[in-house]
Amino acid sequence: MYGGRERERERERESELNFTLRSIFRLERLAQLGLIYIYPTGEDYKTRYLMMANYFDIDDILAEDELVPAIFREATNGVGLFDSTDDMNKVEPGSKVELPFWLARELHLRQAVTVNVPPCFNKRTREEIDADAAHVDLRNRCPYFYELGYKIAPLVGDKTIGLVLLIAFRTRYKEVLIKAHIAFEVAPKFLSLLTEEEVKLYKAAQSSATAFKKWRIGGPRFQKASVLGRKRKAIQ
Amino acid sequence: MYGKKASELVKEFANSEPGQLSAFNNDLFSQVLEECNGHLLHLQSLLSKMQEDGPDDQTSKNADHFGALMHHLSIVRNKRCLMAYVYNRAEVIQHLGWTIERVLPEEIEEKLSNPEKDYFKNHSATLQSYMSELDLDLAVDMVPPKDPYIKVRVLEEIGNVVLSDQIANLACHAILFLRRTDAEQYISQGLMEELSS
Repeated sequence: MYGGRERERERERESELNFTLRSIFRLERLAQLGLIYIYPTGEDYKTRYLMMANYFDIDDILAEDELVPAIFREATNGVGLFDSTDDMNKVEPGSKVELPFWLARELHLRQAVTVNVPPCFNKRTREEIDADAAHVDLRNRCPYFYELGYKIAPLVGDKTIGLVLLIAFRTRYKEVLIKAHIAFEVAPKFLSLLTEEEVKLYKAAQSSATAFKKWRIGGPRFQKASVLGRKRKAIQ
Repeated sequence: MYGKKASELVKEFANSEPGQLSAFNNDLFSQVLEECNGHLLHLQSLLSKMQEDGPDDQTSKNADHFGALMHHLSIVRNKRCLMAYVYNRAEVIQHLGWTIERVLPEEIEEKLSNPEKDYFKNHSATLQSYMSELDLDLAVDMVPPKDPYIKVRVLEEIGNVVLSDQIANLACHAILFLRRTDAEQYISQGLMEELSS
């Protein structure tokens, strides 16, 4: 009985692996043809797969620009970016710096630096989220709160980050949608608390609400191309 | 900090309203390219230093290696930012080809770089030739009309125009019934507005 179940699980795992490999080969074929770009990073194929899809994504680029604290484990020559008074152009091991995430991730994967959890996921923020997630000023802490959390969790190996993100998003999502659907003019203070992702959600919800209203009342179908409209206004 | 200018460029695009273009930032763009060249010089000098040192001095070699790596990563990052900037602008320009055909208004045209102007010209020419081959205007409204005619008001002096069913004098402020297909392009160019009855 025991052996049978074990074998079954083994087979499952194998077929899953086969599937992954097959899709990877297909992706790599596409990359050879120049149709997609595989971002050469990440150890397992899953992270690779996720990354290349966002190569041109503006938000993904900006999310990776967020600073994360890191400690150098190795000496590094020829980079004088952290301490301009140092004319040796050298970083000593053990120096604490804040690196943008795109740099920190690659150096962390090659074990040149150790990445720490950024301050926006500290204890205080977590307590505030537990208390009342809907009114925490996440934008001030990190405008790409969710994206950064999602990217940094596998690096620092902190399993609680995912939970924090989930709780925060669940509570705030509800709040954002309610406000967007019911109130057509919300206080600007509320918008200033939202992260980029949530602002997008808010706008999407609002535009769907206006589209619904328009559909119900009716009105002109054709409008001036929006590109033109704005420009004229700016000139006047 | 490395990669700062490149992300400024991307931020500038992100801050413009969706579907709108801001002027192509030639200045910043070339500054980022210059930064890339600087990184390349550093990278080359570090690589040649590593070769000179030989295999015995392991510690300083490692340090050189990571220095070179950081320059390499910065180049890759800058490239990604530049590519994203150009690519996302190109998407907007492509979209322009569908909404306003053939002629770009001056205030938009001056925001494009020269390659972008060519891109728009070629893209809309391709679209036009495809449509004329099909003998079908693909840019018209997707929803079938209830009435083939709509009531419009002319907002700017257009003059005498041969339309598909009549020769109309499109004087400023005139209110008239036109075929939807005729009126549509004028409305999207902002020369007319649709009056709902």
